[in-house]
Amino acid sequence: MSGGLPKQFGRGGPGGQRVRVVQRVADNAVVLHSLLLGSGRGVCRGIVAPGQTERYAMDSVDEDVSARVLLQSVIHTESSRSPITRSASQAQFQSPGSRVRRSIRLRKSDVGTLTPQEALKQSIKKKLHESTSRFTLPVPPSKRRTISEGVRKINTPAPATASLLYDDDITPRYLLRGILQTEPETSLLVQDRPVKKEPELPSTNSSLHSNRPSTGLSDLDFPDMTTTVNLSNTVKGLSRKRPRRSLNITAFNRQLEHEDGQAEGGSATEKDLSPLSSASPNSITFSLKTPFVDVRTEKRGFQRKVTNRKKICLEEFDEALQNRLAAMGGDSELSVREDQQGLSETVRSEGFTLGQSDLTAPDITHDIITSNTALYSLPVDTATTFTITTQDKDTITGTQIQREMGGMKDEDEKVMEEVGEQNEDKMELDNKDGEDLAGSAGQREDSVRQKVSKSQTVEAVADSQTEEDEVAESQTAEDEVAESQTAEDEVAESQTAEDEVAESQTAEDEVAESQTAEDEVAESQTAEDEVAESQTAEDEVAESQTAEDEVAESQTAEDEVAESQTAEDVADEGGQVVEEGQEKRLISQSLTHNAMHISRRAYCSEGGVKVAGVIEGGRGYKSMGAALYPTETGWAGRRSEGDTAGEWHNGPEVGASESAHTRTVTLGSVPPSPLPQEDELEGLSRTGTSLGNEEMENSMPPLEITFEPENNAPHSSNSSLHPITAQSPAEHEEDWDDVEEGDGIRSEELSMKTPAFVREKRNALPIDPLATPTVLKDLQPSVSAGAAAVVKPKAVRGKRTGSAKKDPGLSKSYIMSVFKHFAKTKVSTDVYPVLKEIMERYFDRLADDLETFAAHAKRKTIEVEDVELLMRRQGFVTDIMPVNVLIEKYLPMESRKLLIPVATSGNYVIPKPRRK
Amino acid sequence: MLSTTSCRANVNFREKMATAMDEEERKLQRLKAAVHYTVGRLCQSIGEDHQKEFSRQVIAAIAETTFRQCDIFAKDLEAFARHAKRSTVSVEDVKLTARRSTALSNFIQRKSEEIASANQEQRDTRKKIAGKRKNTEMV
Repeated sequence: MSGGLPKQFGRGGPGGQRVRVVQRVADNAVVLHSLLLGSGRGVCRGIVAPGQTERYAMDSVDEDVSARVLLQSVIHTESSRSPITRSASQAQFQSPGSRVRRSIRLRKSDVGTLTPQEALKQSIKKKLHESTSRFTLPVPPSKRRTISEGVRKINTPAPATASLLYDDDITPRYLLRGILQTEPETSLLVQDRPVKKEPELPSTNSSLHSNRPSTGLSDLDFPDMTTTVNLSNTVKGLSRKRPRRSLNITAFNRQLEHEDGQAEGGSATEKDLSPLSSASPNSITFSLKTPFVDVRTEKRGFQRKVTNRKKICLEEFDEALQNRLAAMGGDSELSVREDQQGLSETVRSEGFTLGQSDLTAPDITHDIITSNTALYSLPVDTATTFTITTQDKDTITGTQIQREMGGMKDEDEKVMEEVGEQNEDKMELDNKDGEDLAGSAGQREDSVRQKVSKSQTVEAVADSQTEEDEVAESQTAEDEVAESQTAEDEVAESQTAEDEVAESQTAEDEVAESQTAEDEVAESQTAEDEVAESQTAEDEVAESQTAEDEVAESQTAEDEVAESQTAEDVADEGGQVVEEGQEKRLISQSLTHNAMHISRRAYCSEGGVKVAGVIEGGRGYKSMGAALYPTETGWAGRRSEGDTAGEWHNGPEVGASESAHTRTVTLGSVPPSPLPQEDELEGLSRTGTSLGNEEMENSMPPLEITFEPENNAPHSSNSSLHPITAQSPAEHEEDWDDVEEGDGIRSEELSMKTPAFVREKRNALPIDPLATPTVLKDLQPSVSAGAAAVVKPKAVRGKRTGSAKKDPGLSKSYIMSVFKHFAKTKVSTDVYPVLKEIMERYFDRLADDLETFAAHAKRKTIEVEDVELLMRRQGFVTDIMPVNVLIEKYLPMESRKLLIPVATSGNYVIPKPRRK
Repeated sequence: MLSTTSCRANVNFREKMATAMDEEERKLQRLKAAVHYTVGRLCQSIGEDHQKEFSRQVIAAIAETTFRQCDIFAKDLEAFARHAKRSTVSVEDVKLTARRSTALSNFIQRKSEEIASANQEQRDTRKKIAGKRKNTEMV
């Protein structure tokens, strides 16, 4: 791959910028691969995201990249793939301008056999590219948008290319064919919009990558079992991951470009989903629903990541804000977006962080941001309440709700969609409310009221969800596990986001999950505050993350929030809430994923996204409620609301995901959470079975990457191991499988959801005491001896003589463990009753014999001689096998010291010889 | 000369060892043969009672089993006697050995009692005789 990419770049020389972008994308893609770990598609998307950031930077620096350029770059990337493998693609590079067309032509020519749908798609794509290029060129902000679009486009192909390169030497033609083939299906299923096709293409490419290596031209080639099995898995993961990412990017770009962004974004998301769905038939239906959520989640992830990773310069922010404000005045949202984009161009992460900082600032963008933050913040509050509630009684309910949401997603996808629509409506209202809040606290209150009304509506939705939840209640057992996992996930998130804080939190989490949740909230708040103050979100977060300090700060922050409803506080809280909400979302996602495990792939992808969206929505609602209550009751009110918010979450999450994502994007506070999310996502991806998790990861990591290349770098470094191994999706899958197997041995559930380190901790703690200590430790010496028969009685004797009589029945686990230890075959549990009976008889006779022997020696006390005689009669002690040899052979040193006299200095013999 | 003498000595030693081994082996074989013969007779008598016949292999197996069981019993009795700090195997040791088999233990118990009673009678008779003798002497 690496070798191939440079070659491509060199070939692309004429289109230097494009080539550079491609290279960067490729580089990013590698990092993303590492981040994505599991699914090649996800990796591709993730790669795309970083590439986008780089691309943005390139565009801003070198030139205004029009949509055409972006498309071309995408095409180049694709072609580059092919060039590596084949010479035909090289020709395309010669003329950058015509490259895209050529690539398309090549595709057509290659596709030759392609269906009319593919041809239509290609034409649509071309049209789209042209339109995008036209739109983007005229206005600088629009350029940025276009750039973003191009990046989006590029991103999708880039990942695909990266995946292709990694996976196999796939010619661009094959990739294009696969994309075309896959795309029509997905697009048809999902939506008919032409715009969607672009995002679909990358996704399709990803799917193609996975598929083609096996079959080559076939669309989604499951038929090739050998490669396809892994590929199919990878493809699913890739498709899911990619669509989300692509959706995010596309949605953002589209939204920015088109004020109607949401609808477009939704369509884009749907489109993206459609490709994902194409990868796996199950995902298709889901894809339609999830896209919105994905976009939002991605946006959130980006924001979070950006804030965390990229350090925003105040000067740059101010300048960008001023420029944007001046230019953008009219559409606050658009201006904000543009500003963000501009920031993203210069420094995407900064832009995001600036957006966060903007929240504090009084600009329209700030208002927008604040509104977004407010929306999020409210949800964040709810999220915090969720965490708190989760800690308290609500934890169960929240988790259950989330789980129910997962279950609901599975069963009641339609309901969820409806709810999602409602949520979207609510989200819109929330956004409005958020803007109002930004304008003035009073307006905020009003908006909060509106939100409350919305929340009520959400509650209605939640009621329907609650019904679903009831259905999901059956999954309570899983939910419990999921809760524990969620707790772990939270811990993991907090850890990933803030390693230092995470560590302290993990300890604390174990002690008290509720405390951790609060801590996390506090941390997130502190982190957000710090971010708002100093854009170096991570540094601040790290500082604030000193767990105790953070907790105290968080408490104070909470108090402050409750007390002061100032816009900044609200925004900060909102940001914090958003972070928390994101974490919660992640948790909920993980929970849902856990619950979904069985039906994960299709459901998980959708469910995870939905859950995230729902959670976001819930957060938004919660934030609303929290904003209202905080002043009055503060956290308690928030917590109390949290329960309701949990219900709300279910409803809003589905639909709200879109608005939430957009809002989160505007909000800069998000960044701290992305890292943990990535970790969680990685963990999820490691599990691999939960596609939804993978999707989440895909969406989240790429966002992080794109926004904060620097921040991503550490992640990439951390995750680089995975990506390196995972360069080929199949390899990724295998790795994942291995990891899963290893984890699965210990605990499948844990492995599925929790990060590796959390798993290890859990595994280590419980396993160590259970496995070796009691039974094996006693038995091991005997085992080592190899004389199982001899060992067994002895081991038993020690305990029997000591405690057997006290406890007439040895514990089942002990007996079975001993029996299984000496049995060379598997032992069924049915053996236990019989084994118990035999054990009783054996020991009864043992005791009877010892008693008789003692009586025979005219003693009333059983002594070692009696036992020795018994062993002699049992055949353990013979003329050639004295007792001392057996003692030395099987008994530990402590016992040996008691039985075998040893002379020490001073002519002392220990123990004193009793024999007369 | 020396070599021849040494060789002769070795030969003599070997012969002696062989004779010793042979003696031990012969003794063992004779015991086994006796057991085998006894088992054969018992089997023949029982077979006649039940109108059945025992094959040679069965008789040989029973004989071998009996021989080994006797070995085990002997060792157990020895261990029990030593465990009771005695150098002589007593009835108690036998009872302990046979306690697992209720019928055998009961039989042994009865026999031991009979023997004990018989011994007691003998002792009594002896005492009486002795007393008579004393009386007669006294008289």
